[in-house]
Amino acid sequence: MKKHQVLIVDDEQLVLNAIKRTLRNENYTTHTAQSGDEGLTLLEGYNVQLVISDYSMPGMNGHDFLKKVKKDYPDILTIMLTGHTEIEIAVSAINEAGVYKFILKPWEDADLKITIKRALESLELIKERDSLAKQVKDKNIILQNLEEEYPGITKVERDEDGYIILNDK
Amino acid sequence: METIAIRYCFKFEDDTQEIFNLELDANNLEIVGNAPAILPQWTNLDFHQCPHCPLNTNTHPNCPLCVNLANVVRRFDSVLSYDQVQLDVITEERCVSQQTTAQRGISSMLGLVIATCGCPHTIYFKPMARFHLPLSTEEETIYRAASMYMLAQYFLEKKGKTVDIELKGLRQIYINIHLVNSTIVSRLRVASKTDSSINSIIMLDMFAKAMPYVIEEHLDEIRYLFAPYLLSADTG
Repeated sequence: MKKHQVLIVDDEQLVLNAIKRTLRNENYTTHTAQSGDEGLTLLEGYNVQLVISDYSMPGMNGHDFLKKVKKDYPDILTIMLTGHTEIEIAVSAINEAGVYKFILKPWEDADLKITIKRALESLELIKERDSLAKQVKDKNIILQNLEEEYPGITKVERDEDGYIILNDK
Repeated sequence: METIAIRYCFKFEDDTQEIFNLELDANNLEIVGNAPAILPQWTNLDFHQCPHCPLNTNTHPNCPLCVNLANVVRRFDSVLSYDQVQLDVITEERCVSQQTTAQRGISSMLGLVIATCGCPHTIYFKPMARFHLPLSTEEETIYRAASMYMLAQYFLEKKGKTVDIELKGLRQIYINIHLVNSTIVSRLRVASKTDSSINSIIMLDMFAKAMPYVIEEHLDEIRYLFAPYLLSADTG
């Protein structure tokens, strides 16, 4: 299975250490940054699938950072860590920054691990869905082209060798 | 009563300051005179009581830890966790000064307060409180906690008791502390307007979370410090 890359952003090194320890035995590559700006720089250099960011940081706060991540990297899923429980922060993070999940500090390690696992699984499902949708779209285009070239086709099937048989009776 | 005095002085960028003159009873290492005259409701023992709390409301109407946090929370209620502070910690032996964040400074002080407040889950940290190390790092805390616990085993062994050199007991102490921290944060979410007190407890919790992992990995993170001992054991 592909090794996912996770970026963790928090202004406190202790928090970064704690999350890294929690994920030490998981099949992820972890990157850490102590500010939103540093996080954005790291995103330019690594193919990150998931970003976990603190909310309360000096300079660019977690909300603004994740909003920027969503804008520049729409395929990346984001999780916000916070000691706050204000509903306004949660609503705005979900609506404006597209945050996948909130985790309250101090977190339970088992909860954090399962949240990350589910986030990455959902990312894989989204990719699979998009890939299947593309396949269907491509096939429809082929069929449309065939219909244009051979109007009146009533049946398209493959023979034993995989060749397309057009039945235009 | 003989006391041990520790002064925490926070100077903020707007030139305001908060000074805490903490005193520990020299005999039992419990903090004295730190409770406010009127206790807020969130200090009631049965308000978000820790699930593993052995106290009851008949003997302890208030949580001893929260009672000792009340003043700190109130006085830092307009401070943001990442605000810069000049912190001076003055004891009889020395003065430690550092430019740091509010949450690190408050966290350091709360570590001392929590260890000496009389909570049955935090009393094990009293020896560390006696030799309080302000603004200690993660590695310093790992070293100090493990050393303290091993010294406790020495005294237990001298009393003919079973000793625990695998540090299983220390791991359990920290698991219990994590539970205390989580519950205290639930209380503070009700009590506090800004995030400084909450994040200071969260900082302490990062130490509590670290220790079980470090112990599971046989203290590998500080093994290098003991190279002279290990080397002489190998060659001897």
